[in-house]
This record gives sequence, structure tokens and C-alpha cells, in this order.
Amino acid sequence: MHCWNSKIETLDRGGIERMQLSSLKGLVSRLYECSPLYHARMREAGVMPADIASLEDVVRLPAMTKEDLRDNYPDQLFTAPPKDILRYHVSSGTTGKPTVVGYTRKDIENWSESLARSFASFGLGDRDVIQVSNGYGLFSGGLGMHYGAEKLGAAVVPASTGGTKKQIELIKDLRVTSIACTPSYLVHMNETAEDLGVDLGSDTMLNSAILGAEPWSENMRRHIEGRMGIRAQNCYGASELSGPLFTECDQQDGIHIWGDLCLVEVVDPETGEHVGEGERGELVFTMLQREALPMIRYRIGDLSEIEWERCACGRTHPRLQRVTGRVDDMIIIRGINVFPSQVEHVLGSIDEVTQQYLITVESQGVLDRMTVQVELDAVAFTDDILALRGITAKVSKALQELLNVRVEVQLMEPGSLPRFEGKAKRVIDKRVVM
Amino acid sequence: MSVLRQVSVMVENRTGKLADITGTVGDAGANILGFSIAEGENFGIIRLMVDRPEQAHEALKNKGHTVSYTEVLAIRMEDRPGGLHEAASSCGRLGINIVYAYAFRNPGHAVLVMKVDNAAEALRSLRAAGIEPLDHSSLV
Repeated sequence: MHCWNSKIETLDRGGIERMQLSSLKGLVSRLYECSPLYHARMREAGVMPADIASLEDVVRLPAMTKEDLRDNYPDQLFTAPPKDILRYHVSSGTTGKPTVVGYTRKDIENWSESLARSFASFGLGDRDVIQVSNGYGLFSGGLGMHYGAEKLGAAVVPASTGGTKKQIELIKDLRVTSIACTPSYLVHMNETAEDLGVDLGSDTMLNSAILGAEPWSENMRRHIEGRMGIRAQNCYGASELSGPLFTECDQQDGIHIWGDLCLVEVVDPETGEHVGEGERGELVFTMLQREALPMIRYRIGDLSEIEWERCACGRTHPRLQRVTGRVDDMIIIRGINVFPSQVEHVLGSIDEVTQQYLITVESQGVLDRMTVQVELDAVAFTDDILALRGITAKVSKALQELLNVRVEVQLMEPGSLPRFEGKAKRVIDKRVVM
Repeated sequence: MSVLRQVSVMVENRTGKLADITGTVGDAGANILGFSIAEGENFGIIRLMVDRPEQAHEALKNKGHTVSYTEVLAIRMEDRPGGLHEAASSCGRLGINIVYAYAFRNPGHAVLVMKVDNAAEALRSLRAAGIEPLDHSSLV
């Protein structure tokens, strides 16, 4: 086994947990002393730094959600002095307000370190050429992968998104060995390559892909690996946590979450209490080393489970199983996060329609198509089809403005959409996962 | 007053919906004189000219249908070749813009039902030209 940092990566669980506790204590003391906001929140929760005596005590700390980031836009949660901030990434918000993540030099260093370890865990090294086909820019994906790959000593091809034919040429000509992108983009690229008569498996040096930023399945992995003859590695991260952070090792048996950088808990989404070890629940992340934007018990909304058993690769850090759902039903359309609550929000502001709606997402070729069915308010019914079309257009425009995604709106007869007694099912995802 | 009340119903595209509507109207004791179906993107609008619009409207509403009144005009046409052409020509000459129209036939004459841009103005122009729009009692 080749490790990027074997001392840390193979430390036993007790050792990892001791590091985590020591970092957590330091973090909590620092925030209590330096951040009026965290200080107030801890006082409110009735917890002092001295109360954190074991890792289990982490539950006493108040949890954070995306709301906290939005409410404190742009940088009120930052705890590093402005002169120490080296970079910002910005992600689209759920009610139109974006969230901003800041990084100090050490934050970027740790982020890169995390990815370098992950890349090495499935065999990448300084001889590799990694094409980063994640978006560069405000989105944290492209630059995150870029720095991780450079840290590893690999050569980076910063292709970003789009220009698929050019990307295929680059893979051939620059002898690219690994590509980072979304699974759907890789499938699209492979289809384009086939049309051009290029077999990405045998006509190029490509032998792995680092895939994330959208949910994908084991079936999709089998499809990609079988069709392209490469290894498809699952990657996990979130902009709030830095960006893409962790991947699977060559065993493809869960994503190694580096315990020295990150403490992950699994809680019951309803009660917020810890579930039993190995049980499924909502993931809660504490970034132990972050300087610019501390994340304490961040409830990210993803549902999965954590396995602590030593991996067959020899690494000891907890492994994250596939994310199988979202607490808040967030859907990702063409790489953009969409929350059903946003749709509700828009409908609430338009008199001619009710709050009943149904979102359908379908694959259109390799792209996603989103349709929103809304019920006309019976009072607004008119015999005038042009006026009804006008209502459809109004809803469509308002949704597009907030979501930044093209939306097809269908106006429905009042009462025709399904009603729910318990939790409403507002999203039908018909996308083909191959 | 010869502006007629047409009953318009919004219906989702589903088989059996028309029969739902016609059954309700029949049970309410309203006779459908003429009707048309307009097709929207994923719903239709059924437009009904009945002899008792209030009964039909109430029964449909009670059954949970989305229903409204629409003001339309109806004029008599000669039931012979060229009859519709004469009616259409008159409207054209009088500057009446027809949004949609449908027709039905009674013994002895035919009726053209029209939704126009401005019903009150169209009514005046028609009358000034000696064409008396029909009221509910003279429809049948």
C-alpha cells in the first residue's frame, strides 16, 4: 500500500480520536474567546469550552445549518482576520442569497492535503496527468481538485467544463491518466468520443476518473467501468466544508474521511441524537482545522452511514458509505442545487396558482430536464387560453430567476395533483442512472 | 341584453373527463345546445352553450370542477351554402375581432357563437347594422 501520509493514514482509532479531541478542544476554546457570534451561541446552549472532555461531548455544541451561512452573509462567521484570507468560493443559495466560503493559506493547504491523500489512496502519484473537468471559478470543484492534484505532484490539465471535443483531444495528446468531473459529464464525454471514433479506454492512457458533485449509483459505476475500462472513484465534499475533500481508495469500499481534519457524526434527522455505530442517519461534520470559516457540527443534509472497521487497504480512518438521500430533498439539476422549498417560495408569491406542485426531473440526452406542474387557483380560471399561458410564463420566469435553471411549467387543473397526508412527495426523479 | 353566458370548464387531459362534465350538466337538467373543446398544453377547456347556464354552472362547481362564465355573442345564420360566409363577412365589415367561435344547427336556422374582443362594442355594431344577437330564449 502506498500512502501519502502513512503515519496519519494508518493511525489506530484510539490515536485518531485523541487527535480529534485535542483539536476539538483547541477549536472550541479559540471560538469561545475570539468569536462573539460563537461565544453567544455557546452561552445560549449552556456549554463552556471546559465541558468538552470527551468526543461524545461534541453533541453539547450547537449545530450549524446552511441557514447560518446565509443569515451571516457574506463573512460574518469568519474568524480569521481579513489579511489572512487567500480565497473565496461562492455557491448559489436556496432563496437567492449565495453562501460564501473563505480560506486561509492553511485552509487551502489542508484541503489540498486531504485530496492528495485521497488521490494517492487509489494509486495516483507524481507521474500522473490529471485533467480537471470540474468547473473553475466561484464553484469550489475545479480549483479544489487542481490544488489537490498539484500537491500530489501530478501534472494538471485545467480543462474546466465544456468543449468536449477539445477535452477528448487533450486526454489523448497530453496522455491524461485520470479525469475529475461529474459522472454525467464523463458519460457524455464517452458518448462524444465514441461518435468521434475514439475509445477512451484503449486509445488513451486514461485509467481512472474522480467522480462527484452529483448523486450517482453503483449501477452507474459498473456502466462507466465496463464501458470505458477505467476505474470510477467516488468523491465526497461540499463547498461549505471546503469543496471536494475525500475519495474512495482502490478497494472502492467507502470514502475515507480523514479524521485528523474532520469529525463526522451520524444523527437521527428527526431527533438530532446519535444513531448506533454503523447505522444510517444524517451526516454532521465538524471541520477540526478550519481557520477562516469554522464549521461546527454542520448538518449537511446527506443521509449515509459510517464504517470504522479498518479498510482492506490498511487505512484506519472512518469510511463513508454511498449517500443515499437528502434530508431536505435537494435535487441537483445540471450541477445546480435546487430545493423544493424554493419552488414553494416562488409559488407563494404568485396569486394565480396554488401551493400544490410536483417537480419531475428527466434525462434529456445527457442533460437534465426539470418540469414543474402547478395548479391554477380556481378563482383565476379564465376561458382565455392566452391569459392562462401568461400565468404559465409568469411562473416559469419567476422560477428561472431564482433557481438559475431552465424550468418547464405546466399549468394543471385545480385539485388534479396528488395530495399527501404525511411527508409530501414533491419530486419525481426519472433520470436514467445507468 | 344579448350577451350570452357560456359555461367554460377547465379539464385535465384524462380519458373520461368529458363524460364527467356532460353527465353533471345533464343531471342538472341543462340542455347542451352547442359546445367546443379547446386544447391547452396539458389541459383542455370545454366550452358549453346550454339553455340553463346557472344550473349547469352550479352543478359543475359543486362537483369540484373549475368553471367560469364567459361572455359570448350568438347570431343567427342561414342554414344554406354561404350562410357562415355571410355572418363572417358582416363581422369583418363591422371590425369585430373573433377570438374563437363554434356553431350549431337548430331546425330552420344555424347559430354562430363567438367570443369577441369587446362584447359590448360588438353588440352595438351588430345592432346598428340590423343584426340582432340572440338571447338564451331565442337560441332554441
